[in-house]
Amino acid sequence: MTEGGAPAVEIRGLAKHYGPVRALDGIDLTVERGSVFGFVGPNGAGKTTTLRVLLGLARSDAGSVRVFGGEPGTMRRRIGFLPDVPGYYSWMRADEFLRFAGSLFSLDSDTLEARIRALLDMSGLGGVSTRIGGYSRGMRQRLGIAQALINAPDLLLLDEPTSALDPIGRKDVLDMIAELRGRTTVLFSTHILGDVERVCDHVAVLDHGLVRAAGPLDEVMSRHAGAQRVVVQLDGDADVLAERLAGETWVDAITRSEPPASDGGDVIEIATDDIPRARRRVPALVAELDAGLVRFEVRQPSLEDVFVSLVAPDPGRAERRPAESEGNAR
Amino acid sequence: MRGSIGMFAGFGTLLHKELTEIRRTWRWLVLPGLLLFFAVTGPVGARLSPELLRSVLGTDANLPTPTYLDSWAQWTKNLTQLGVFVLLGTLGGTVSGEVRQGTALLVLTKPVSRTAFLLAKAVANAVLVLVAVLVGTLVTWALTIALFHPVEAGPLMRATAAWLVLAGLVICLMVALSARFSALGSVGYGFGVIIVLSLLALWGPATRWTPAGLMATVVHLGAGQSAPVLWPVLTTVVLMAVCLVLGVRTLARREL
Repeated sequence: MTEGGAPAVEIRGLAKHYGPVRALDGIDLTVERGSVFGFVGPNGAGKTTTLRVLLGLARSDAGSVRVFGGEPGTMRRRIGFLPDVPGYYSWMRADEFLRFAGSLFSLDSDTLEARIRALLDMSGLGGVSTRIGGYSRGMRQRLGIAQALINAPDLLLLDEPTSALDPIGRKDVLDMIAELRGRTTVLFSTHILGDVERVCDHVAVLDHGLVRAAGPLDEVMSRHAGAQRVVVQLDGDADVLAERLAGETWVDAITRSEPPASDGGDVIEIATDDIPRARRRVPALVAELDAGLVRFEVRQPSLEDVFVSLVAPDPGRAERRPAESEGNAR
Repeated sequence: MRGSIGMFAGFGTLLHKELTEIRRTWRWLVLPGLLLFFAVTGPVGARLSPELLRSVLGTDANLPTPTYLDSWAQWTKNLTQLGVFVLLGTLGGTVSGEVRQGTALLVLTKPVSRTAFLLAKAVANAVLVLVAVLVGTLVTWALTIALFHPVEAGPLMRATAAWLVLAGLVICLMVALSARFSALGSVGYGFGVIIVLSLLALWGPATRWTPAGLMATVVHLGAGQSAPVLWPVLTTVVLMAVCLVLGVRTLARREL
């Protein structure tokens, strides 16, 4: 089956070894059509290897991979791909490279020329007549995204698409990805968690070749983010306040953090599930201590909190087996 | 299956890219430039070599009068002794260079067969060599006519045609090697193969029946002598096909 209700990507028990190194250790993942899927993990987690197997560039040692229900290598007409460091023929201009890339998809000339114009505009390379060899890294990345879209793909695979871009370039790329939602399935790997929070509706956290968590972004956040945090900054020493808070039953944990450089005073973070009580008790305790409250802020859990809780080294994590990880995303 | 990739998918586009790349980069200068140099210096050197030798050895030296065959011999010697090694040097990174630069990754994730990717490179380089050798041959022929008229062009044409077959083998060999090894590794192995063929050429049966005889054949034909042609050419063509098949299979299995 290559059509019907098949997901855009379906991975089951995928394993890949490089000698003694287990790059992928039996991952399961489903990417539904039309979703914008963030694939996050630290360096060496297996993100790029997974994408390479999806593209038919690398063979798996075990497991199965289906793209729109078919073998990965046979679905290249429907896939757009941007590697982390795209390589080009330096003697070509951007329009020439897009024309070359489009010709490999056997696009008719009218369609191809229209897409080249649109993609050059989108990537901000429309008026650039120099050869690619003289491009900055950001320009090369933008051209990479343009060439990945030349065939109007059903599935867009992006490997670290924003890592080389300045803030404006990053915003442009993320806006472009967001615009594709519902029309094109986007699977992009990144370690910039803010990008995922900004545009993704689904996420998978990969670490040491295992999927640690996967699913709709809000579900993963609520399941793994842990306690909310209250940030308190005083105009002086916060040790006494920390001691008093340690005796409160609604406090899960207290950590010290660095104050902003422009401010004096100590900053503490309180982990708690009882925010209303924190709102009442912290100002009261500060008043009892006759201290000045500079800041009181309830910080919502972020994907970074999820990431740190799932990926941060702990003694037992290395021993976990695939069955203990979550796997599926729907 | 919908979306399956044909064996030669993308060949036309890739060949066009390769030929454009040759035209727009340094590649069109190296081999054609060198062959043009051979084409000009060969006839002139052949014509002037007695005078040069007399000036070194003294006016009484009894040297044979040069003929157009000396010009043909100079051309064919240059092709076999230097042309082959220039080919080895310039083709070492044919495939591996694209893998290293990441261009192969962008190209081969599109609906393109790896067979077409490799064959386009072999064909484009064959076209480059063919055009460069044709131009060089015409130049050396024209200069030789000017310096030695009349001339018989048959030995020149036969020797050059035989060298083109040898060049085809070098192209196929280097394309295949570069599908597996780095540029430096490919040049090293290619050089080794040429050395082995040269050593094999010292053994009579190998000269008559195998590609090892082709280098000597080129030189003999250029000098207007007879030499075994049929079997060395046939076995060379077979070896070219073997190289291409092995190259295609190597690239097909290679993880990128």
